[in-house]
Amino acid sequence: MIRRCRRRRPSSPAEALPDDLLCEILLRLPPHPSSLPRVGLVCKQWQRLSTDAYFISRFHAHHRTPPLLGYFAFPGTFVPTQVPPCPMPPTLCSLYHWYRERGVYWWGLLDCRRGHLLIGATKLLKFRFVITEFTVFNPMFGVSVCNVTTERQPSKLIAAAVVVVAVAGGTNSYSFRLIALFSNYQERRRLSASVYSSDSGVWVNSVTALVTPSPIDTIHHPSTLVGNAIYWLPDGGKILQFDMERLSLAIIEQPPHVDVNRPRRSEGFRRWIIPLRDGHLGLAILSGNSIHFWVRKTDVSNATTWELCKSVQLDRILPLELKERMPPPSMIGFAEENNAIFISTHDGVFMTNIESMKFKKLPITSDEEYYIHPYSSF
Amino acid sequence: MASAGSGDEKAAAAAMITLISSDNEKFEVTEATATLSQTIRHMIEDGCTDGGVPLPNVTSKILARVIEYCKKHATAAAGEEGSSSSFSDAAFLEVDRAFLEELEEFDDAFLEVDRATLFDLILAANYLDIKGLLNLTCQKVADSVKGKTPEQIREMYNIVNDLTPEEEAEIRRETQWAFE
Repeated sequence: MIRRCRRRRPSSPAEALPDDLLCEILLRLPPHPSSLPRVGLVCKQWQRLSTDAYFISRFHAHHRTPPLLGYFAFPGTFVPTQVPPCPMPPTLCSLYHWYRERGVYWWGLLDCRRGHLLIGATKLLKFRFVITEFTVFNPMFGVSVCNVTTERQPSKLIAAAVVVVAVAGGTNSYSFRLIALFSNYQERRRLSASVYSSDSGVWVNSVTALVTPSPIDTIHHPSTLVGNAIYWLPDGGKILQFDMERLSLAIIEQPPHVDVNRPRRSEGFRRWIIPLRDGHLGLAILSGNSIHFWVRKTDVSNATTWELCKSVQLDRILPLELKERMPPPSMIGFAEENNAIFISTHDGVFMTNIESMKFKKLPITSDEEYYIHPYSSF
Repeated sequence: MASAGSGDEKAAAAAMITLISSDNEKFEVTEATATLSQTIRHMIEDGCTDGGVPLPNVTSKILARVIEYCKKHATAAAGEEGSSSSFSDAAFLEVDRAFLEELEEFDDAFLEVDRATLFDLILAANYLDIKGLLNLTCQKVADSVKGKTPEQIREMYNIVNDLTPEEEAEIRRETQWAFE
């Protein structure tokens, strides 16, 4: 801590505070997006400190977990969840407007991680709508971080993910990887992946292609990052893994005795890949009114198995009565930053921490038709 | 307050330190109380506390309050050490919780001061490097600013707006949404 000699006492107490102490105060403002912009109008000193990149990185470190601001629902509408409502940047609330201003009319939200959105802009090519351009976008600052084009004809994009890998001290100077998963139009069981690095500015392809037992269609289920790998849950009960270090694709079988193979519309709402302690891969399976948590363990001989680690009955942890005739609960989203699963029930949506099982009822209703992308940011 | 910590039975074995305020008032405190301040802890370690520790940046009024805080929290720290080494049963946790609640009440009452005193406490906590007190006082100011308009903040803390109308207009344009 810097120690300073006290200057002659000025008439205004706040002016008596040197920069380092005013920083200590501003650090402790609530982590809402409007906290720092609001105090920036007080005077020059407050403006200078509240917009300083080093200070902002300290503000993030001090608060550790960014607050959940809301979520993106299909096809890209932002729904705020803060109680009481807190002001949000306009670019967060109206992506439509932001894109229309730039002449992009066909776009879709593909993924969302650590405050960044991955958006794909589509074009009509040879009678098919294909995603030809990706934008990594930080709506808090209203800036597109990167536009990347991909020329992978005749491949079809079936899923994409963004992984923010480093914060280089500044407010919006992030380094990220963009992972795109393709299938071949002619040979639909053949999958390959490409990774774009914002550091090198080039695409790198996966080491080998993966041939799946059955064709895999576009994956709508949002991705989960666990350790160094991205996981997707395509329809049909398999788990797709892309290891970002080895650049390899693999299929992981689900735990045995898990009945999610029935081709139902709601199948995806009953399972979710989750990160567990010590970097273990976890899978949450909703069966009736209970969630079963499975963990993937590797033994000494390097064999991997699923172990059931926890079962939770929803009506025991959530304040609701679950009866047979009511629509069953479903899992509609997962917030990696908050380690919380979003459980939609007849009585509302509950954001539930998967470790503590503590919940928060959100002031929203879900139509259960689509997955949501929870959005947490400072 | 000036004769703080005058030889009670507990302190008989503990070393006493004399702190001297800017207006030359002397405060005698136990080493456990004084070493909540990292600044004083370093002075003790360097063996330069004989004849008292002059604190030219802290007035007697503020130093008395700081000592009051340190005494209470030094007892808390001693209690915590005891609990982790020898006791861990439910009954003891209950006592711990009651003590933490009492400590919280103490902190709340401690912060019932005027704004000038609060800022002096921040300056003293920083100079003496007392982490807990710095956190407590800075959080109090942050809480008072929360949800206020820039005009209200300036009025509360008597701050002169030195932004030019052009600068203010530009900041407002960029952050308009934050005020809606």
